[in-house]
Amino acid sequence: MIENLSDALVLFLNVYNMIALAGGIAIGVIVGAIPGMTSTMAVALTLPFTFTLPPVTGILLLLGVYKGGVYGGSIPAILVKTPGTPAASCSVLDGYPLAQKGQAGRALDIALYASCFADLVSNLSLILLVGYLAQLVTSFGPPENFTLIFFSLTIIASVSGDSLLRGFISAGAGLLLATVGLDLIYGTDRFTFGNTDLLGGLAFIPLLIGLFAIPEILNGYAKRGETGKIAADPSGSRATFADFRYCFRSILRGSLIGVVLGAIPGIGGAPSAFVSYSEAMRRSPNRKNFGKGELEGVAAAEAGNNGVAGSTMIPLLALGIPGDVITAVILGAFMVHGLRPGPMLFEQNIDLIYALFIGISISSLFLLIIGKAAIHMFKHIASIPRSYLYPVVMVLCVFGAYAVNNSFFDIYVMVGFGIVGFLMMRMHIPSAPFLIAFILGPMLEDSFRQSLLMSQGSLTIFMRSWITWVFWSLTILSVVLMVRRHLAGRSPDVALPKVQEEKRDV
Amino acid sequence: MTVRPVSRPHALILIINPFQPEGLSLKTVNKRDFVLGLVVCALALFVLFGILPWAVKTPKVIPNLALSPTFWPRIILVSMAGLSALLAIQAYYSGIKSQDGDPVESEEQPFDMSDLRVIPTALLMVLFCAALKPFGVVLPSIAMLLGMILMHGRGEWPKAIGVSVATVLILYMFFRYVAKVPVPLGPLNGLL
Amino acid sequence: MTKMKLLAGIALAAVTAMPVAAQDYPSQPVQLTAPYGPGGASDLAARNLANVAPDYLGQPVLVTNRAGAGGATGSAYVKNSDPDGYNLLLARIGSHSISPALKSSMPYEWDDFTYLSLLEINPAACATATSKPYQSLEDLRAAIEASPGAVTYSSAGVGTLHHLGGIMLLDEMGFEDPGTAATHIPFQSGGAAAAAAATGQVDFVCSNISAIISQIEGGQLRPLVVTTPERVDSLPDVPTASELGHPALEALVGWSGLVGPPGLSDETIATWVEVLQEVAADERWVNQTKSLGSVPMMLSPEETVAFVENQYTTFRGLVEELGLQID
Repeated sequence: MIENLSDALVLFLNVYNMIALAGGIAIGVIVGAIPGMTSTMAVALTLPFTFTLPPVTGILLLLGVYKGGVYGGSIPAILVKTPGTPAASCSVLDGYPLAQKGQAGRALDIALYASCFADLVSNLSLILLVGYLAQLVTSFGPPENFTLIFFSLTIIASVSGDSLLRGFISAGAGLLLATVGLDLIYGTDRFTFGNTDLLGGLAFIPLLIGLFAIPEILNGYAKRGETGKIAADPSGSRATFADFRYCFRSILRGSLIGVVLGAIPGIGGAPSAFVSYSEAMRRSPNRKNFGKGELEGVAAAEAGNNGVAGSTMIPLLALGIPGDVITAVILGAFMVHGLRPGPMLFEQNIDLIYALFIGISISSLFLLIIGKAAIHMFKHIASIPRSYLYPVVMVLCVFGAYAVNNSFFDIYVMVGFGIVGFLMMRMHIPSAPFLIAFILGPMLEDSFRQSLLMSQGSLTIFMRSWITWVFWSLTILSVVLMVRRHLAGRSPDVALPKVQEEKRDV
Repeated sequence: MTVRPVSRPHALILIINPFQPEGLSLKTVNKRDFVLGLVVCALALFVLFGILPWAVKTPKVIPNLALSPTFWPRIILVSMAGLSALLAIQAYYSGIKSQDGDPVESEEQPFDMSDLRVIPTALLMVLFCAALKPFGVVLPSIAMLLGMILMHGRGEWPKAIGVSVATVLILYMFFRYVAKVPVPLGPLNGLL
Repeated sequence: MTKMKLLAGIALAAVTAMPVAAQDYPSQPVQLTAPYGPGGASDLAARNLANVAPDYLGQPVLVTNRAGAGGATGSAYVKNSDPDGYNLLLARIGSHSISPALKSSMPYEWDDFTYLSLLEINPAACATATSKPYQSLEDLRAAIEASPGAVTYSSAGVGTLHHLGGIMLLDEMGFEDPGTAATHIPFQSGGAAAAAAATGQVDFVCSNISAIISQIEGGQLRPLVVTTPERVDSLPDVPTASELGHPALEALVGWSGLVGPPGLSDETIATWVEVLQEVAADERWVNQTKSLGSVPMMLSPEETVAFVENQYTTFRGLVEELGLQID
């Protein structure tokens, strides 16, 4: 063990590894901050450069890009309501209102602190719990996934704003549009109307940019009388240690949610951010302030999506199973160097694994330093006049949407949903439920149908293991709590904070 | 907590929407939701009966109804039609009478005159989409950027042109040479 | 005034930009479309080629991912692009021989393309989780016979090698209707399909060996048969399909190839044949391809067409015989 560790230190401790890790994070933050350029694309683009690097250096570079990208997405989400990556879409909900209040710096700071803390927790979980969590992963099949995602859908209630009915309608539209494309099970066409672009379904990123960024841009033209800066200079506000302590419980909870959801193949950062956000909201005494600029909301969302950044490596390293596209690319990097992740790697190349672990554990610190520098750099965005900022963001979105699939079709989708999103904004239909449903809808449908295929049509498969029971119970619990809270909130005689206090005593 | 007696519309709303949140009194639910509910309901029914039967293909043999490709879209559409109908009913009842029996006027119009100013911008975006095929991404982007800056009413011509051309060229260079995305140049092909 | 200048400038630019096409091929970067997402075997094969080919081509090769519909979206895009040689496609077994054989509503046929070369082949194997009781193909057959429909196999979606591999295996085992003998459970990707088999969620999977080799070596998957004519070096104990009396399974070989839109000029084809010969001799490309678990195999355009046609005809025959066509 000691011998392995010292071998690993020798393997890790060279200046190239440090440069690769720091450089990767810097590239990731910048690319993640560009709307449409996801961390997945950044990792795929970096991959060919790693062909010629030593394995540890190359993989650390990729991991750096990935981690930087996950954080970087939050910067434009907060500053210009344009999530740089899908996982950052939840950070928009409270980050942008905070920026509008002139607290962009505070929001960016807390996003960074939450991200780094969650990243650290996730990395430590990877290192310490890889064996246990890998066990958990192997017991997740389609029925378990179905119950997990069904539970996750209850968060739609938290992001529906002032009317649940409108939130549900928005979610319904998201679910429906997610069915466009080839049917997974039978390979038949659904709502494709003979169009080859629609065969692959609607891409998520153009839709995301369309629904968040473009309505805000259009709205800027309606209210051009009141122009000015988008928000005060972010350097004017900072997150204090008191802020961090105030959000700490949500950050910790979000990190743990991220760790567990990240370890399960195929879930990813966006659902984790939303679950973490919804949990933070459910437990906060300032529940009503969520969605209107609540610092804890930003912290919870960012903790949730960065919490997956370490644990996604668990199924890859322990079982050789890539849980998402990014780990699939990283798997490619391993294979290019003749390494095959899986149990054998732990036996044959334990020094390499430890070297990676050492690199991964200091990546959180690098992220903090580089993220701080990035905030310093990007804060100038907030001082650009709206008349220039909005159009430039629009063109940036165009390039980003094109880059997703190198297709004009995605730009049409983005503009089309931008106009739809503007109408939704005016009709007070929240767009967050739409997005969550669009992400989770296919996972829900696929896992449901896969389960039924496995059981030859018997519904009892959804009760087959303790995991399904846990998620069913959580679902029922959260629905009951939701109903009770809303009924309690209805009565005008009872002040809300008081209700909260009583509940906590129970 | 004591349960207070509720008037008829109140009770109805309690049934159809037990989650009516605390911040909103009944008076504020208005014509907007009524129209929205009807439109969404009509759309959902139209897709369910008018489009789905021919736009979603089903295989010849399906072992189980729930496995059919049409199963989920059907469930979603039926729920949407139901929920939007509820929204309309709720808005209708609460919109006519308030708790005290007074007629209630809609407090907030979803659209006002200032929204007319959005139309040229939206049109510019649509025109931009139409220009992509013949002219590539770069030239239409410069034109749209310029148009949007000027439409905002604060830009001056020389500065606006400078910003438009420079921004798009920088973006092009970044995507082409750093991100390795060959952004279509259209007529500029071979120049950059 | 300034507006006029700008317009004039744009017009001028448009006029001066014309003569590109007249120059010798290639005079600008070549776009290579990978019809699947980043990180997959098709993407890696494309990036590997793009890493080496520019040295011999004299122009960069830019890999762009156009994923969707099991490779159909990206393939249709290249099929409909100009045959100027600047839009090429990394074709795969799924997009170019299985899907066209299986689906009647594909936006292209297998022979709608100009085939430049085969690049590599990926031998396939069928495997089961080590936690399952099946020690051999015969055990699996007995289990399927004992309870029709209860045995499951995973795939990366309809029209993939995994899907057709399962059907072919069942057909070879002698089941009347492979559609109902065992249950096909599609997943979103090859990784997810392999994971479902390795964790025992499904009973077996047929996959390219490179995608499941780490689970095999890690002791989670037990290979039952390989589809190569000879035994595979890395799996010396696993019988071949012929040894088990199912030589027809040898058609089940994954491949990557380089193709262009219909009507590529002879000059373009000749350029690429030359370039690819040098790529095939380049150690970097050969080593990368091998380390990704594939077997480098460059074929001439004619041989490539014959190879794909042979595979397509086999699959098409099977689909028609079993009535598996998807409308």
